[in-house]
Amino acid sequence: MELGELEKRHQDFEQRKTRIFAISSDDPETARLTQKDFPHLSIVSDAQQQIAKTMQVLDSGKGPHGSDTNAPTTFFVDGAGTVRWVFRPERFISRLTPDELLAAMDQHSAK
Amino acid sequence: MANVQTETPAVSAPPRRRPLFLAGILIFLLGIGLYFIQLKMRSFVVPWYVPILATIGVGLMVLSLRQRRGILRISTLILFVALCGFEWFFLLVATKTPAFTGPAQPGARLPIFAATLADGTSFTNADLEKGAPSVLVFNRCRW
Repeated sequence: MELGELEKRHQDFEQRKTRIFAISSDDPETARLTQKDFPHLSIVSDAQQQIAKTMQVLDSGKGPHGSDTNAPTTFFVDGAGTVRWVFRPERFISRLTPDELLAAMDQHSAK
Repeated sequence: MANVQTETPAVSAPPRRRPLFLAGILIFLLGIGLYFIQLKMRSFVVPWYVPILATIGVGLMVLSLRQRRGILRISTLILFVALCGFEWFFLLVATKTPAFTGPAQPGARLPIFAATLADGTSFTNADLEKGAPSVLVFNRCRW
């Protein structure tokens, strides 16, 4: 997902009382700068890739200098901590749009 | 006195060639230019048109070589064929993501984890069990 697009549409997510957590392997300082740019999102610094390893979203060798980096993956989680929907694009250069995410949330919230 | 008539041989113009080589280069570059415009528009669909236009461009350049050859043309063609191959490789292979097989499948509880938010406060899976839905977006890096 493109964070700028999510930030622009933050009201649509607030209407659904949904909080967005953007997680990357960036260090805490970079995460702090990102948070300034996207004040309506919650930026998570996962510099040690602990969440990424636990959730198994790492893409081996696709990061800088052959390191492991996150495969772009989006999870919609209900209020009890149960995963309702997972999306990963076939190619990392494509992105889920906010409209697609909102539609999936509406569809899977109703279940 | 003999009347001498001389005929000057008609100089025929060389057959007009279509500028296929130049057209090939322009079509090739058009794909790259369109992709930059696409990114400017913040559109993130897979740009299949880039290698397709590149292939068309290379095809025109090959056709052009049948009309006229030269070291410069052949060298340029080799360069563009390599670029075209790279574009196909990049889209078909390098950007492909593995299928998600992790534990957080639909219907499953989130696994236990802990990290920190940008403001330094802790962030764990328990924060996502407090009644409000959440979206977790994993990105490669800052976007």
